[in-house]
Amino acid sequence: MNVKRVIKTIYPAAIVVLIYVFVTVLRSVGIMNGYYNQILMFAGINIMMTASLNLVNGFTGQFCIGHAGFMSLGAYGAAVITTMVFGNVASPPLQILVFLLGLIMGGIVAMLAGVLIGLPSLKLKGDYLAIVTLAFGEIVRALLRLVKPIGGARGMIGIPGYANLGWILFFMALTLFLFRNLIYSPYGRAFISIRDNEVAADAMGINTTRYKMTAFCIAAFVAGVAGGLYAHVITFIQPDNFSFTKSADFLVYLYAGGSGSLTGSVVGATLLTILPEFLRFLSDWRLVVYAVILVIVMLYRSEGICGGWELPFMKIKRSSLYEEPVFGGKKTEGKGEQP
Amino acid sequence: MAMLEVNDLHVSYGAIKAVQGVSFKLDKGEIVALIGSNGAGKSTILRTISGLERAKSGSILLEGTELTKLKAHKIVEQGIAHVPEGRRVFPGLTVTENLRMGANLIKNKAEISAEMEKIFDIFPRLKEREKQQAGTLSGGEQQMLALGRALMTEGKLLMLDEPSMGLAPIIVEEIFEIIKKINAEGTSILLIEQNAFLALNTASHAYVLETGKITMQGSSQELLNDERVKAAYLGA
Repeated sequence: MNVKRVIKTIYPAAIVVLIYVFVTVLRSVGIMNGYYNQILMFAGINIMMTASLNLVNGFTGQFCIGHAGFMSLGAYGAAVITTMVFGNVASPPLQILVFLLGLIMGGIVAMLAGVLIGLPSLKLKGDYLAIVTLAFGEIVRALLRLVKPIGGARGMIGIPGYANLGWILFFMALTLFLFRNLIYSPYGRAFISIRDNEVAADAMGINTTRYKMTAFCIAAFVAGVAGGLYAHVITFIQPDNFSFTKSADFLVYLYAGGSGSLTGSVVGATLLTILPEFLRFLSDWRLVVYAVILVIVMLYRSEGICGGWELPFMKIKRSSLYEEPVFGGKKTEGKGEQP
Repeated sequence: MAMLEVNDLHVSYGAIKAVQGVSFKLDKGEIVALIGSNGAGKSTILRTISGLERAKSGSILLEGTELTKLKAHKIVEQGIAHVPEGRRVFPGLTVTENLRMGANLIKNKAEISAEMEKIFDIFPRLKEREKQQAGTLSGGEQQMLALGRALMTEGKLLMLDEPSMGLAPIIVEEIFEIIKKINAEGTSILLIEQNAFLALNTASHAYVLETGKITMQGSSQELLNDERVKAAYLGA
């Protein structure tokens, strides 16, 4: 029983490590070049963004459409720390510390912004959040263009390229692990109950505003960290990198992959990050084919590629959360077949 | 002192006055019914009591505690369990998880399990389906789950919004038997029903609501025999 659990905990991590080793080997042999490597890094960042959006849109049933706003705040927050505050740190171990500090800073900045816009809009029911987050994304972009010390509209250059595939895979795996545990905790249950029926959740004594706020802030934090990673991959950021198109991309990843499924976020973000690159040989027709593929997915699987489905290690058997406390001793052995 | 006392309650949706000066009371251990046609303001009253709507004026006292200024989740703590209209279960959660949501206020795990056993005793059907997602249950089972979930809050007052809606007559009968049983065990019940005959046969006291005002009130027996009630609601 315990061995099984240990294996279950370890093997997702093992998969991530294997991917890393595999890619490193391919690179050293020369089969894979820096270009492929960068696509994989973007895929990892996009997975983090999509998963965090999933927490708000897919699991809590709110509608955030300005997720790139949080990403940009995180990117700038992290870049300010690593480039401007601690820009002349030379020793590699210290650089790692600065990098991590920057990422956390980016996450915190994004989360604070999340609190700021969540407080007024999450108390309301319905689509207000969508409108507010849409405006938020654009306001952040406009404001960043005005702040001269961080480059204004020209953008910020010379960000050290601290992030590599290893870091990104690490943060991606950490995000997915924490999200999985969160979703199958009492918190996750409260999120899902709000999504399923806010009135009933209210009537059951759940402080819906508080839980919506929690989900929103966690999502903003993760988006901020993902933004920080992004800044340290491309080493040059400008406000227009994080326009509404970017937010829309994440929405597409989320709904094509399947909202309410973490596996879906991984599949959606990975496939749709790689697909446009893969289609490059079509030159101008690339985006047309991309769009057609999306339309076909939505026509034949409107719930998304992995809608309502999770990989076994991406879920915790729901029944196992209650059995022992709830049925004191009388264990009904693993018959839980819930998604 | 009455368990629940509503005084001169006014509720509006924008310019529409849904409830206009309603007063009623419910004594401990009693079943009280609010009857009336669509749009009479019955659901609005329940929603206002449990804090899902805000009262424009008037007071709602639960054992002397004023509820109109409290938020919905605080009102649940005061001991009001609301079964909203239309069986609002959480379709994405399992039966057990749905029940578990009702026990948010109970922190002690042993107490939660005891409470859940009690619910499964009342609704054996739910026990059979404990690991199924609530969205896959039949209408009657969902109503039972909504009821069971409300009972999990261990409220002193249970408010039921149209428990018979959209259910087969035989299931309705079963549900109402259970409601009576719950009441016999000491929970006070405020019942809203369009099926006036059923409501009057279950409740001890009833109020007739028309366009936001109470037009008649009395013991269920009186109302059952009242000519006007018979003509308007019992179809006799």
